[in-house]
Amino acid sequence: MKQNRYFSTGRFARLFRNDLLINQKIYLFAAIGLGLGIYAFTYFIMATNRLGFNRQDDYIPLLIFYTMGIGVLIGTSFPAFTNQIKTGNYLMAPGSNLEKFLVQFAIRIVILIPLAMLLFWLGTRLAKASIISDPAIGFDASAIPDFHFEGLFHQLKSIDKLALYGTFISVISILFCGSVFFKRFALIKTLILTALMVGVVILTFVLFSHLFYPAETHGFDIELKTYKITENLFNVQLAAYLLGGLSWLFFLPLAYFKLKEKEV
Amino acid sequence: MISIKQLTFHYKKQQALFADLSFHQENGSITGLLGKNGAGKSTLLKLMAGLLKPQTGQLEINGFKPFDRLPDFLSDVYMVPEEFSFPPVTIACYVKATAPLYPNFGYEKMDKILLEFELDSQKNINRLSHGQRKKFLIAFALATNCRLLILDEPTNGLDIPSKSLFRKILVSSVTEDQLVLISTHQVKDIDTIIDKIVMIDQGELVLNENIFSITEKWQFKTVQSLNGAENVVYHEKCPGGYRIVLPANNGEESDIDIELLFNAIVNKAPLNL
Repeated sequence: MKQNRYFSTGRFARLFRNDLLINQKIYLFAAIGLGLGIYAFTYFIMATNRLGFNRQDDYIPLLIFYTMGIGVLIGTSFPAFTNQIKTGNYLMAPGSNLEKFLVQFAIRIVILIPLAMLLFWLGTRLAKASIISDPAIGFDASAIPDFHFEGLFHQLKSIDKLALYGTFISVISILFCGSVFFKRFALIKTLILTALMVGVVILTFVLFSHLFYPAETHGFDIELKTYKITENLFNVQLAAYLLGGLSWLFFLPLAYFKLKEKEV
Repeated sequence: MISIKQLTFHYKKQQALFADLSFHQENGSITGLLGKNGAGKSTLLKLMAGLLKPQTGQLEINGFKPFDRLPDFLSDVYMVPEEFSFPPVTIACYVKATAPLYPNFGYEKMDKILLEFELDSQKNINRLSHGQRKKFLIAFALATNCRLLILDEPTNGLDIPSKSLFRKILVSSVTEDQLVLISTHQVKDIDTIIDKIVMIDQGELVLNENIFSITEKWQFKTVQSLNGAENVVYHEKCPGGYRIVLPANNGEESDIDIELLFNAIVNKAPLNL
């Protein structure tokens, strides 16, 4: 019974179905938009840079831009919070706060990201297939490599890759959290607030560097005392990995508790 | 069931809207919530719906604390707000998506009310007129069969035939274990259906009586002149004479004039209700 107060599979399924039925057109257009967008963008890049696009790494800038687009979709989670009336309707929908949180998490992260990656894979491959060779300038379309996820970031060490993926999840969780906190223009406000917070952290580091290492610090330099923890790991590296890779452990619960305390 | 004990609420940086408000209401009635603009009616309804958190005091609805927003509470309370918004889907799609969230939802009841309100379930809700959307919302609210129905200005935007249809449908569809709380300024629209009046003024409960006991104590009449009228505790000029409130004589009852009663209370007439 106690579990039923916070989570029930049946209720979660009904809320999930409710969201899909109500927003089916929005989700469909978003998926079509992502697919067409990445196809057109990849085709444009390949067509304008025909001789230069010949390595797997050339897909990385495309993927970064594409990921920003996904970030926009995640940053617009909890669309009901954009106005007071919708907020009231949403908060009064029969379901626990956890179920409502998980429905958004499932749709905007668990389903969206793999679907978006599949669309990226399809879009880039279709774009490559659409490019026509031009022997006059020595351009052979078959020389463009196919996009593979497994080849990405091959130059990074496995721990760096892990930290990268963790940072990705953390950024997503910040955007997700921002959409619960702010009513209007949540994405823009989240980005501004995040930039401000990063700025404050950097300024604090600069200030502390001047305080503790006055002789070595000049201007806006940050002076850090680095040392090796293991053969391949520095203290600063570990701090960055932990901060980037585990921030989601703070932001996701924060989003849940903000939702729980949300008022109209 | 609504149970409020010493409730205090104020918006940020504002004076307290309610201080020590206490009120109890069992299920099985249609209650009218009245008050001047800014008296806090909508705020009180939002507190009951769990959309606002009270600062102090006790507020319980059907045995739940509203702001906990537990699923069992939410599936038994439905609020028709004064202003509303719908997704751009058909009535049928909305019902298909939302009705399963309410365990006691009556699909047949919904169809019947839609038919009475002459609403086509294949129409997109956002292409309906304001009044039609309001009728759909009322129909959905009644079909949920929630034990507490909160209606904030339900007749605003309804045309004259729809208002009488609303009264008919509401009275016929509400059961003994339900409580309907109607907040409105259009007292004429609901005077024949409510069986209890709750009135708040300046953050205090100034009236909490059922219609029967009010009409048992007081008479509401229209007279041509105040000459000869005895024991008048409150009067108002109206076309053709005066509307007056006076104590009811032995067993002589009259229809209640809620507007007159409201003005009498607001103007501190000695009603001793």
